[in-house]
Amino acid sequence: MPIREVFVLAFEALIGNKLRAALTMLGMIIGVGAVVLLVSIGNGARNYVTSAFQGMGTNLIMVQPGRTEAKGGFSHPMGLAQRAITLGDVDALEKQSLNLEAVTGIMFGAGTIKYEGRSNDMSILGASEKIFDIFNMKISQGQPFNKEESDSGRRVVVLGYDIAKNLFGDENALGKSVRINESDHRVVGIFQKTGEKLGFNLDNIVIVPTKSTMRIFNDDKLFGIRAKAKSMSNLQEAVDELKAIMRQRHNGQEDITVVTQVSMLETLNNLLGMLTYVLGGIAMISMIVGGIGIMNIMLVSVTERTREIGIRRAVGARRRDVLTQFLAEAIVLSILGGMVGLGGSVGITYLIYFIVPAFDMRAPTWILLPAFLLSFGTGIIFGVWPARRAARIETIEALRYE
Amino acid sequence: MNAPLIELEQINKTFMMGKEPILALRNISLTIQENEFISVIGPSGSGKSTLMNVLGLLDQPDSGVYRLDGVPVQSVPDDERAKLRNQKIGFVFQVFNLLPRADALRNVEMPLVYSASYDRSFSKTKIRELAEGALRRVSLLDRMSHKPNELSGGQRQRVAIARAIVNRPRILLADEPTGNLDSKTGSEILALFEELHHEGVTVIMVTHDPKIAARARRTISMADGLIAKDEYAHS
Repeated sequence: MPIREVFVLAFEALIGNKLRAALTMLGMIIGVGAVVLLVSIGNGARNYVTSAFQGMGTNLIMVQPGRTEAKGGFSHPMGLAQRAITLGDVDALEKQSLNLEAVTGIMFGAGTIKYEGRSNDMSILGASEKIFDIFNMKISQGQPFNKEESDSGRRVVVLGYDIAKNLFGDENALGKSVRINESDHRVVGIFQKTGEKLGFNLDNIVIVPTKSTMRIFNDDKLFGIRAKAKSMSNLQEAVDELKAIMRQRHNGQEDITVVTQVSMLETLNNLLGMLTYVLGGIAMISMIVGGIGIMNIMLVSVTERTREIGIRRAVGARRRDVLTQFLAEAIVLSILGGMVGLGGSVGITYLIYFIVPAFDMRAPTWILLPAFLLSFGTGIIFGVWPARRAARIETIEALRYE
Repeated sequence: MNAPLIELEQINKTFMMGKEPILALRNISLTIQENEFISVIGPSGSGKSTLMNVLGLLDQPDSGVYRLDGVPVQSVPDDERAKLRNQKIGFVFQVFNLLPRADALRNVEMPLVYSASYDRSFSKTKIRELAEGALRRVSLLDRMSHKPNELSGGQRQRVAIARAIVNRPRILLADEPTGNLDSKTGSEILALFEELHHEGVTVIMVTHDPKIAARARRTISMADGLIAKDEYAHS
């Protein structure tokens, strides 16, 4: 039978039973819709994380003391430090490195900031003036502390937006003296409102020169080093060079963990990619349910149309013609349902993007082909058995069937 | 003389009815020439329907030889039998057996759609022309877009006959073709068979009604799986 005729027949059969076809398709609509939606959500999350990372400044290199085996993973903050990272290491990197644009040692800890009886718990980040460049931080009032202030460890501070708001309200904070843990610091700048990034509220930190922070915490070991490569393209050379310099200073041992923006992004992307597949996989269950719905209806249809099968066989249809006919019906059902589900879910993702532009979960274009193939495949897998049953029916029995 | 159109030699067919074997056909030997008009008569259970199923290649005998156009066909594969049914045999049933969803034209086109698998010359246009020709032959061209439930019993049977003859078969097998029709309509259907017979088609018609059987040239009477009588009308 010509293939065109096969599909004409399939459509005729479905049109002949519109309600049933629509209800059967519903299973596929939901199935494919769920797959596309969940994959889009996973994909959206990935895009969101990527853009958040890039907003933090590209070319970023993070160095932590201690060595963790997981390549490209996050360093364990308690990694076994053979030797602490010191300001001497930072100096060496600044002087010797050709591929680093900016380097700073950082301190990190919790503390309390007070001003005229108001107080605020916050995180203290100790860093040199380079940090503003490395993390691409924007100051809205005043200015960042300068190299001279940083090098000599002045008691100056740049406030996070929320902290400034809490302590000073509408009052001008610049030049005021605030008490951080036990020592007074002069406010030189206030950050722009940045909000939360990757679960870290950047509006609730203060930045103090590294040396001042060492005094606050009474510690000369650095929490780590943050550096910026001159360009994205020489990131790897910068990392190799950094490791070499550190090795030289640390008795030839590689006792640090280096994480780059790129490796972190890769890790997160892998993680979220995995999540996307898991979500898609879960959604596949609804595809299977949709497929079983098709199989069920096709089996009913084969039984109901036993006599039709007999008639067709009597006038010259071969078993394979009957098989093709019923298989085509299942495929048409699943593809129609799948395409409606695809259209609907893509529409929903665009609608969500329209309402919440910050979270771009628009369905990626690559989803179109898999969604189509998925519906096609479901039609074949769940259509084969009913179609084979139809083809196996004996002609005389089919003609006698009431 | 040419080889006979149909030759049955020692055909046997047994059914199991529960644990009881039923001998539906017992050593049936029969020769049918081109362009005969035959009625097969007998009480129910006499084996006449089984004989029709064997002749129509819908069922295979347990033993014996069936030569169609001189070619043994008793054990050809399933696909080959479908092709032979499509090209050489037309069926007319008591209950019409039209597809309820399809209109008269689509019903008549159906065998040709399968012919297209064997012969590429069956284009959409050719199929349509042949189907319209067959409907014109049974005087129902004006009803071609009616569905079966919009047609009277006689009209439905005429659509079924159009479907049976659309591929110009050599043999027309009719199983109680007037069984569901009133006598006037039945008579019209029989007249149509006579016309087709005059045009050269071999007509074999199963009936239990002797008056209808009498319209044929040759009457085969069956009883208990045997041919009890095989006689030619004296006209």
